[in-house]
Amino acid sequence: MNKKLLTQNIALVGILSAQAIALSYLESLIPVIPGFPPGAKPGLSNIVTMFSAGTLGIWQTLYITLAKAVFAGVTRGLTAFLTSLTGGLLSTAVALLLLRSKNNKLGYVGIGIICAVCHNIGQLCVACVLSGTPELFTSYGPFLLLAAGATGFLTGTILKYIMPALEKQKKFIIKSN
Amino acid sequence: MKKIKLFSRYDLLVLIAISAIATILLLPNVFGNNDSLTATITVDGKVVETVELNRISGVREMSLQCTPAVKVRMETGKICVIDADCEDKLCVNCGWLDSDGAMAVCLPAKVVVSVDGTKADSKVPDVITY
Repeated sequence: MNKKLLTQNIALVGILSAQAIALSYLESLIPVIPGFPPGAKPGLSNIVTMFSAGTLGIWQTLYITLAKAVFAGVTRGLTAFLTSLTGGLLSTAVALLLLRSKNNKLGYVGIGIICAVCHNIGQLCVACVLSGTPELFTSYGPFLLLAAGATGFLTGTILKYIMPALEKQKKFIIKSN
Repeated sequence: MKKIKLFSRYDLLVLIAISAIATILLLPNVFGNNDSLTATITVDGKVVETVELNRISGVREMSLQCTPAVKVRMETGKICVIDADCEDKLCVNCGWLDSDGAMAVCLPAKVVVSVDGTKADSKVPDVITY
């Protein structure tokens, strides 16, 4: 990657990080969603990380994930940082694998759901370790799993439809010449 | 990036798989025993209180020794976290815990409130005679 392209990538990563952070702040304003387990959120910022995983690259996506976790840490404390980072890294890793693999047969909905499930599993693991209660997996896990099914469906579908806009934004900043 | 469909038939398999796993994990909760509920409150991994919920009459409130402060309320057959001095209030939003396996966790304060049910006529004998 030459210097000019690197600069353009850094600029785009900055913008995408800001968008991811804005989305996670927005959904933190939503109180408890009826029928959803407490703490379950739509995970709209996953749209941004999935886009980055599919069209940019590994370091760009990891940077956005880290930026999200740092924002959670600054605004909501250390536990939020740890849960956001672990969930984010796990879901990012899976998104990178699925979206960049050549023989992926899943659609946006399936990828969205698997990413959401991985995000929740990562967060649940941190919660289990921090609280010392592995029982959380059976008491809270199934509800989180079902919630991930719904939220992943949502984020995957949104990604599909805003893909043109995100691509346009990317082309506006990264000029491949 | 390769062209990806919105919904492929493999996505349906993913949906079915997570629904199945969730259902299997939920089964023990459905068949749990709610005859005699015991609430266990732990702070930082140490048990600070064990209460038989069905034996509580009236309302009992308890402030736990932890930071941020957490307050629990117990009534006959149920327990809940009514106040937590933190940002997200996830444990408060869990509401009343009144069935086997129900749990509320406050991560910042490392508080776990869990409810376990045992069938009233098993394990513990009511009367022992000679």
